[in-house]
Amino acid sequence: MKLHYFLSALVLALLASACGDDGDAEGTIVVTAYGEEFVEEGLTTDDGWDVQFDRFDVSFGGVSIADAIVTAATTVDVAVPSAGQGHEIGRVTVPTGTYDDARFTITRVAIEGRAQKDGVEKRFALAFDDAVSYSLCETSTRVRKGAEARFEITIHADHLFFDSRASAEPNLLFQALADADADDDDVITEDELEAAGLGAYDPGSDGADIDNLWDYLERLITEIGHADGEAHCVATRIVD
Amino acid sequence: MRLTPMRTALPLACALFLWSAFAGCEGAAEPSRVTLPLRADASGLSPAESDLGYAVEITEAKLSVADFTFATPGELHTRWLRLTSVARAHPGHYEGGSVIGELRGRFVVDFMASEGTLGTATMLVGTYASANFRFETAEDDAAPPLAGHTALLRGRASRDDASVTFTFVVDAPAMRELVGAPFEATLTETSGGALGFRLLSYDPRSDATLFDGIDFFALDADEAGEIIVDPTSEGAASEAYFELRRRLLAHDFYDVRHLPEE
Repeated sequence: MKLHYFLSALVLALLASACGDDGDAEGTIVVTAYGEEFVEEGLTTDDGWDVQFDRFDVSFGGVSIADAIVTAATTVDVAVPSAGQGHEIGRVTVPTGTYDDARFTITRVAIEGRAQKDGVEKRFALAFDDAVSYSLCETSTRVRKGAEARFEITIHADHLFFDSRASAEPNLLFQALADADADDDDVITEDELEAAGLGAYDPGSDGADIDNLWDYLERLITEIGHADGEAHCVATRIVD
Repeated sequence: MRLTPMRTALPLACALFLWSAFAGCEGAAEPSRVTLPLRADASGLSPAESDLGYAVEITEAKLSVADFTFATPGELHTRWLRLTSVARAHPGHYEGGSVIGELRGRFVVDFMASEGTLGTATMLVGTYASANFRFETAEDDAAPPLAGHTALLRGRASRDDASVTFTFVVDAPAMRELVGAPFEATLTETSGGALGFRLLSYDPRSDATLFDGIDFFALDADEAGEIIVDPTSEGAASEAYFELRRRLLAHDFYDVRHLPEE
């Protein structure tokens, strides 16, 4: 009978240990930033504009995982082709285990590019300075002894062209941005976007105060950070 | 000593039971519930002055909606019982939290009608922070001009001793959900009364009105004293349409209140 109690305790101990680390064993987490093919290769919007990014600089104010700081601050141009691998922004050696505590802050996004349709080319060079902290990402990173695990900060650049912040299947549009070029010099500026109304765009349940395209883009840019592809994180704007 | 299968299975089953009981302890006891009627509440539609100086009085306000849910504060992710699910949203003051109350079904809410309830909401006992619902298209049997649309607002806008009557008919995008309308209440097993669902002509938090930015007189091109704006409107009327639609789809202009028994 005592053996039964012993086996019960043993099973409980084994089950408990399965969720923890493996003694002093360690592995490595490689953290990357990836802009997906939308940024590296360009995209075609639903209204027929071919968009290419010459630069898509994402500035990180800090990245941590497994209670370890991966990098304090760095800027990555995710428009540079990476063959689908993303750009390494740091690595940490941590005890084996499974971690779901990744956090990162994006302090600035600066983009430069052009869109073409029917022989017309519109260029843009825009910078967004709202800092956003991402946490509680719906993913986890398993670190095995002596092995490399990956945590990818995925930048969803296509979100910049969403016509809705509320729809599960928004359209990918550029025409409204092209039309914002009020002086028709083929360069879309922040001032022009600020003067352009939203039209049929839907800024979402919390979008009552968004009434121009610049404010709309500023809000969209705060939602481009994801993890390991499609995993969502809780995004919190950092107010000065 | 060699163990028989039964002798091996018994302690294993006990261990798994104990482990699962501890691991799942947050859902071990079913929370108490309370049911409350949800009704339209016209108290949010008092006359308001818009940013362009129009005194706007709403005389008719109808909205086609479905599937109310009610959520706790914060970014909780606890999965409770059958009633609950996790609300996940873009950041905002009232968004997030776990859904612990609901009223399912489709409704045409007549805010100016003082009688009648939409249905009975089933609510877990707890503290609430927000309400959510989905915009719908009114069925063809709804009274025109709401039939086939989402919202109908009628009223009068006045400025400088002149006025126009207005009719706005609005369509929400398909499956559009409204997330994060304020609903600050703590419900207990003995909570009575009702829940009041309000459309707000004025949002004190942002000091904005539902009709800000709409130049009513400019829309009255034929000076007939009556303007009608709907999804087919063009030019300035189309801009006014989307201006109003943006606010009608925002959580700033709705709330839910617990109305204790009188």
